[in-house]
Amino acid sequence: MVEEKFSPEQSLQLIRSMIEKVKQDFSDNSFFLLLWGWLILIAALLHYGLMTFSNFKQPWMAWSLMWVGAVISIYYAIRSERKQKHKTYIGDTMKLVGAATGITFSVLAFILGYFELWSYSFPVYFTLYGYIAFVSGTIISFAPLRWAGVACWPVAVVSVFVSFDIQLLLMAFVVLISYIIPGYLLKFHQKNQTNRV
Amino acid sequence: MFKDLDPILHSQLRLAVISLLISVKEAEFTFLREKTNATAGNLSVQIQKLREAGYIDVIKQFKDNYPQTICKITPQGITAFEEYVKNLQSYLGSGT
Repeated sequence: MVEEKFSPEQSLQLIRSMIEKVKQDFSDNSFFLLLWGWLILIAALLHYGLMTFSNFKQPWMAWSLMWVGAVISIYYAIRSERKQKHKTYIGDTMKLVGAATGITFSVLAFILGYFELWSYSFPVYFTLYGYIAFVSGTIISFAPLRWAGVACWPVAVVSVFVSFDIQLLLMAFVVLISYIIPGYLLKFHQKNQTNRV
Repeated sequence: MFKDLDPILHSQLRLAVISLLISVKEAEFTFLREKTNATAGNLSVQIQKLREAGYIDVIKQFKDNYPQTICKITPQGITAFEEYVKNLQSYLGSGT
């Protein structure tokens, strides 16, 4: 970049182009949506499959996959933090929302497990998925994620009236609409934005 | 013609740096260099001028045993940038 006299139009253009370049920062947001979306979808379908089509006594073991998600998430978060050359307020807020989400789900799993309320847990989870997608979508100004959050709430209400095995299928459906589809849309959106800069 | 425009900001590289810093919480020197395509020497000089004007804070520290320079816009820098943009808009609005 050379030093030279430049017009107000060029000044505004320069300001705009620099602000656009920073927008690439959102590129990491789809990773966690897709990681957890796929892990929960696989765990829900595996649990359903083991419960319905086999004599396996502990089909809930499918949820051990969540530990894999936790390890990958922590590793990825530490690696991203080290590589990161700049911080944004939105990025920092999303990190805290992510950490709070992880802690909330862990505490909730402990409470529901302690009182053996597993069969009642899914409607609560669906409601929380909706809340997290709505809040995250609002913070990063990504409407599809916000709408995905809204879509979770009626599913949470419906899930109260169905059996546990159907709730497992609903779980797969909920993460598909609230995590996986918005995750790919976000990834595609960010790729386009990066290519434009 | 541009006498009301802040001379500290009315320079391509300094304006680019401030525009990047207004959009982030803080940024490393290497990030600013990548985005502005400036040479390290030129960027250092311009960052120093912004720092002396009180528009940015410069923090020097170590990360993984490597020296790291972090830049952050100050409230004074934000005010100066807003004023600069306002003046730019009035120039454009007046058609000059």
